[in-house]
Amino acid sequence: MVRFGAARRFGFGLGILAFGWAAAAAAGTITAQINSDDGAAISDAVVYAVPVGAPAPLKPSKALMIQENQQFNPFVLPVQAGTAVEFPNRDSFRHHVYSFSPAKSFELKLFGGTETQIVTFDKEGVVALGCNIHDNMLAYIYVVPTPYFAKTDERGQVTLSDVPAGNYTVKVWHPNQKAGSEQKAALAVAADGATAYKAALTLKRDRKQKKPGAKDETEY
Amino acid sequence: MGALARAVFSALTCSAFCIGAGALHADDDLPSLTIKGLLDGRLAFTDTPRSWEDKGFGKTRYGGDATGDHRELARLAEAAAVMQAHLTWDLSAVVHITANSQQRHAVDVVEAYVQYKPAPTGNLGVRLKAGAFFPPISLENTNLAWTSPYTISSSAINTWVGEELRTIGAEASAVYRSDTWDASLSAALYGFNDPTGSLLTWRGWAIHDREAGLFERLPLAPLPNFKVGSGSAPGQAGAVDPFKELDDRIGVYIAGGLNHDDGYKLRAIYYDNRANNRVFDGRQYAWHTRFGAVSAATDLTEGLEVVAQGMAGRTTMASFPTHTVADNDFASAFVLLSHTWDQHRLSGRAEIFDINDNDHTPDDPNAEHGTALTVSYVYRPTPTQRLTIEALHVNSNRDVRARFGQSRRQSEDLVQLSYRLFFSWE
Ligand SMILES: [Cu+2]
Repeated sequence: MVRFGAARRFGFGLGILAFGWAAAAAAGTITAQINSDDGAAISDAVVYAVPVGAPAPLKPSKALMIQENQQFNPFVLPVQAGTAVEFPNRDSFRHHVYSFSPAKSFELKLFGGTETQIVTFDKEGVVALGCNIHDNMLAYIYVVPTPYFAKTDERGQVTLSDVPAGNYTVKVWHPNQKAGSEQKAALAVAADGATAYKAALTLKRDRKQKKPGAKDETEY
Repeated sequence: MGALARAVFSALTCSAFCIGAGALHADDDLPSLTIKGLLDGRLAFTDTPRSWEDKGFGKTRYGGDATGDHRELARLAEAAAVMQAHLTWDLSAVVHITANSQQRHAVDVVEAYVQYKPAPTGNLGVRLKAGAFFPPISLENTNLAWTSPYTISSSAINTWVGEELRTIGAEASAVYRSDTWDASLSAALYGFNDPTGSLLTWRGWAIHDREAGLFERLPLAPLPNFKVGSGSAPGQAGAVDPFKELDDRIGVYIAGGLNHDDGYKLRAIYYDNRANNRVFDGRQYAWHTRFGAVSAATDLTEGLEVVAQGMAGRTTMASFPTHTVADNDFASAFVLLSHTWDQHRLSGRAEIFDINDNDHTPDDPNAEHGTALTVSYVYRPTPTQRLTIEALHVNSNRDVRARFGQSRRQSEDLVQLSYRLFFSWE
């Protein structure tokens, strides 16, 4: 069990500040709109830009996958490979978090209260999370090879800011996306201004996190 | 269950909870205890013959009075508690107890088992269960304490599962999880299920929500074949003790399940209690009971679900080279549609049930045929309360009624109003 200290948090802050300042020198933005193929806006789609012909810098950031009210929050968490994700348990009862995804296989035994444990995700790909105690709990950590990523809001929109000028491959991922319908595009980002990106995803039936106490779960 | 079995079982249950109560201190908060329960107050308006519960031939839980006239009743339909003690992260003990105004003991144990459920480390995992629990048949009784989210009364199939079936033994399951579905294959070995089939034969199918505790006796009408000296099943008690071991033979079942992320579920089971049906302990006969059952459930649209289930099997008692005293094929099926919106749920269920009497025993006519319709509305004002109104209509034709001067064909109506209060403690 590791608990984050104030000093470590301060260190993180400094790091983010330093990177932000450096990147601001000659950076543009990518604005994306992600819809389903029938035109509806899609939230929780991860949009990420991988630099072409240049290594992506590692940009550490703080990432949280919270256990609260017998649910994971957020439902989708994009992180750069190498990121240490904190798993705080804000419920008064235990959670037994697991994943057996190829990108990261692990098991966390989280006691009730404010226990936090940390897992580092260093391999790209999808990590599906479950809880061995609460079958309704479901969430995804999506590990990307770049610091330039974000996920869409309710309107299907997302902005990647501070992207250095250059050539990128822009990709989209969503947990309900049909296999074989992966989207990618080559995009040149200018030093100033926004570059637009649009994609339409083919989705499977909606797979949301179930509410605790839903059918199949113990009533109340 | 016999006195010895009862003592052993109680001792096992108690020791599991003593461990749960604090003998094991491997981890900070472990073991931990959770208790969830419900209280169900019921108003029943009956226009039916006398219920089987009162040794009549009615199929519902609350029936008419001795003359078959309608009645209005207020009852404590159920007080149930499900206690779960997490002994370690992977091992837990569950005890489900119940009390109601119709059972033999003030409090009875419905389920009591230990479950080993490790967190999956790969696509393939295992689960083990040992003790007394329901075989994995129902997609209807999925809520707390084996209640149904849809209706008050279970279907004929699951009513019978609740009455005469319990796995008192061990079940091992292999679970395979893919990205979009998971499948399980289970096998179980069990005992204490030898009289299973008596109630289904001699009372027939029924439709209600009172599952039997492990020490329960379920009433039978005073059938002429139970008479010592003249009957074909002499000495049979006036009630069925479903969970008795009579022949020291182990029963088996194999069950499969599939849950798909697209919203559908499938279940299948083959069950055979492998009883030696020539054994009689002075009160109960052993019945060789075997059946297959399949069920499926899916969401048709947002908020609209369908559940369907079918069961077919055979039960025999006292098979000899020349003849079998009781030999019955049984079958039933239902389709249930349920629509949920906000705190409301409206469900309708149609079902059919059947018993074919294959033997030629003159004093033991068990054939029956029937249909039933259930309409139920559930309102959840808060997460801890549930108000249900249900109308149940059963039409059945049962041969044995004629021996008691009654009409073979009978029609029953029961309207129930249930108020449930849920509680939890951890
Ligand atoms: Cu949990």
